[in-house]
Amino acid sequence: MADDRLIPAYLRELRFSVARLRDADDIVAEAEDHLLEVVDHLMADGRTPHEAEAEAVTRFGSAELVAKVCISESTRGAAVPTTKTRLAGYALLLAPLLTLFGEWGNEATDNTGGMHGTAVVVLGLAFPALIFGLWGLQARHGGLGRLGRAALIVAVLSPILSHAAAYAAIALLAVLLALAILVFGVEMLRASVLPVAPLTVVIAGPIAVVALGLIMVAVAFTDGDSGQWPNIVYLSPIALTAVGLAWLGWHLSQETPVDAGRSRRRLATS
Amino acid sequence: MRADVVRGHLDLLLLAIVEDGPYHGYAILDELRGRTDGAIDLPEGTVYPALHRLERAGLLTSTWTEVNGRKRRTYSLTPKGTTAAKEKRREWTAFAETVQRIVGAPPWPTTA
Repeated sequence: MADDRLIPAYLRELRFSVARLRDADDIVAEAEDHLLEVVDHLMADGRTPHEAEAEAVTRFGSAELVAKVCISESTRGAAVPTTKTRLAGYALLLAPLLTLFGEWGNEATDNTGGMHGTAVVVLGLAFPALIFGLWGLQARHGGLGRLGRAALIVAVLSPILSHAAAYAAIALLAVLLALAILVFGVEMLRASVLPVAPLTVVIAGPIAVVALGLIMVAVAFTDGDSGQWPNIVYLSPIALTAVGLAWLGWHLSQETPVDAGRSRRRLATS
Repeated sequence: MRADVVRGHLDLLLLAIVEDGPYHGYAILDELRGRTDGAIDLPEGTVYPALHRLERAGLLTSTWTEVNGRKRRTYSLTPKGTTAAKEKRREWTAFAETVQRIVGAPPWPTTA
């Protein structure tokens, strides 16, 4: 029988450290089974009960480390393609097209008529499509950490936050979305789940938006007028970001969802 | 092998092991160490949270039994987990082949 001083003390510390988690009791019960099994094996190899317990606890990792991993993993999912991430891929593909069509319709028509109204509605749909697409990217990675969550919140709130800039609201909206997408891009690159090429394009776009913004500010301070530059200068960074997002969207939409069979069964029985 | 490198591929490793299961946590870790000749040696307690996450995501399912008076949790793959394991294996193979094309290629220009 193993000396029971080290393991109960360790389990008490672990219980205290994971107390905020719903499955705290299960975590501790599983840890206890694991530790006692390691002790049994080590004792069978000739260790004393105390040596075996000390090694079992060391190999398991400190209660602080295990609790930290438990807490961080409790907010993550599995980085697998699902039907929802596939739909989000289609949304990411659609968002730039909706923006393009909406912008074109908005500019090409006067401020009245059915065509103008349709264009405004289509333009309005581009934003939820983008947000759903970003959410899908986050889900595809099983979560993108605190930075990813913060970036998604900034993206969701960007239309409201940009009102603070009054006449420059559209510029602030672009900057906020660019920053959110940049953070997303960097976190996705770090996660190494999706292909590097579209991620690089997704990151390059927002960097170009920020660089352009800084250049425009510098020009304004030197009495220049950046407002006279051709439209392509302003649109290129946005187009780059849109191409990167659409590319990622295409990739998400082509993946085999792990819940495909289940969805089909649900449909068949409904 | 560095723990952070392993952690990036932990889901695939766990799914691939449990595919041959069902296994309880200790057995999974034993397989992980055994199949890699000890090259993968994470702090054992940090693998359990990943197993719980995979269960929450519906890729694994677990059952509790009593063994030698102790509560024991055993994991098996769900149908969704089987598909995920296949998909992750395919992703890993494609990734490894791509990297190998670069790092395993002869220096340029070749003299052959």
